[in-house]
Amino acid sequence: MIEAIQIWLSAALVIWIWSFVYKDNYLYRLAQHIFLGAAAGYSIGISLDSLNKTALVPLAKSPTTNMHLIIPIIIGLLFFFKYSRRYYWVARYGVGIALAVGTALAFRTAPMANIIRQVNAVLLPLWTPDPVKTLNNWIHVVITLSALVYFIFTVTPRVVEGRPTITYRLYDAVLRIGIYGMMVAFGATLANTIMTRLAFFISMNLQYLQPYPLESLSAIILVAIAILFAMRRARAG
Amino acid sequence: MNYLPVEQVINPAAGAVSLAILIFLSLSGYYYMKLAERGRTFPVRKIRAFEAIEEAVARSVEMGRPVHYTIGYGSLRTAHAPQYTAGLGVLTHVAKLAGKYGARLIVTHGVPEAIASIDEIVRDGYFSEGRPELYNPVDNARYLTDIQFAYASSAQAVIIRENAGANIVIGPFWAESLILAEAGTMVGAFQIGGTARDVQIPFFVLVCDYAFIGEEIFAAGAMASGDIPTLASIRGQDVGKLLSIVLIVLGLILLPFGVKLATYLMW
Repeated sequence: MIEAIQIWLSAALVIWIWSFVYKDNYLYRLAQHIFLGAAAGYSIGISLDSLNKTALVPLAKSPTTNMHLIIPIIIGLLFFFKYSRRYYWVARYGVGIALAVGTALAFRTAPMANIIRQVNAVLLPLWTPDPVKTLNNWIHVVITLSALVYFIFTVTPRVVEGRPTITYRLYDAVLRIGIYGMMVAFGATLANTIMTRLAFFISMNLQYLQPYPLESLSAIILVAIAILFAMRRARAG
Repeated sequence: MNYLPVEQVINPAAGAVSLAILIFLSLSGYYYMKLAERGRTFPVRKIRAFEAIEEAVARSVEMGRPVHYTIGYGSLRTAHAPQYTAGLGVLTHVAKLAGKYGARLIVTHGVPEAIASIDEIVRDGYFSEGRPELYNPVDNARYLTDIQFAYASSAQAVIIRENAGANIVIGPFWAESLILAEAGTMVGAFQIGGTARDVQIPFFVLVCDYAFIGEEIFAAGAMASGDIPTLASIRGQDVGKLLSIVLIVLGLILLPFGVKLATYLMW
């Protein structure tokens, strides 16, 4: 019995969520709120479990060796000052520390990931016996350099007396090459991602809908009624 | 007291060149910020998506519809923190515009650490423009959840149900980027999107009226802050890009002579 409900619910929730593509309706709202409520509950559970495992239990077991764990607990508690009208500013310290940790994490890997590895990937021989490889390498280098120029915001040639100089025209051409190159790359990425999403769609269908046609059909009928109801309500005013 | 082993604090695999670049970039950023404090200005190239924000807010007010803004979901404690900061920076600008034009601003997000900041930014936006009566914390700033698709399903529902006139999404986004942008399209909202996550940029370029491409969101965040030293930090970032260009050109020149710069960079 429980298994039957489980199967029906999985098929129904998938279809109800998908129904939003056509129109907002009560069954989508129901699925959305179940999802949101479950997510909120799950987050609280995971957070409490993490707090317990990484801070409270070690602190209770050996307070002297794990005294430093009090610091993150205090930082975490600072966030609750948001609810005080008088001391709400104290919460900023918590936010500031969280941001600083995140920025430091990003900063730590930036030179290696964003500069050295990228530069190394572009250092390709521009003259090779294979003409196709040569062309590929030239495209790679020119588009990378142009895209880099596109992202330079404060060093740009100026227009003198309303007339663009040769430097400006050259800069503009490089900028265009950069943006066109990026658009081609975006197109390829988009197609790739769409293929992945399509695979998700098919797997959802194979896992939750196709093996259970009756459950799926009943969910579709219910959602169709909900959409018709929503449309009638919208028409009425 | 337990102490962390040295190799957990300093990564022995990280090269000396990498460390040198990190120090050089930090110093250059600091140098330009100091220059800015002394009154030097650095003109920043116009970013169309940034300029379109005012149009988006004004258009929403004309149509009597709210402005929806989101920075995404996740945690400030991750390496995506700079993108959330950029999103919060642009939110400062949007909140002030909402106060200026009298727009109803709805901020949805799934970043628990940013709840207090978002509340404050929106409040300051309305108060600084002399429209405190428009500030309603329950309506203006809505924390949804930090679970990806639960956040996405609720954020898209807010866009549709509130009939957003403008949909501005700036931050690190994953698979939910298209869900949010598509919801904006369904209600015909004026859309501005931006992320530095390269896999998601195509979706914003495709669906939004204006898109911030990659690093543009950091520049936009600094421009929105209006703070001169922060604006000068863009010059510091540009130094990093110029350094990359110089290294590439130098490496390409040296390559035919059998000198592989790539090897030296990995030191």
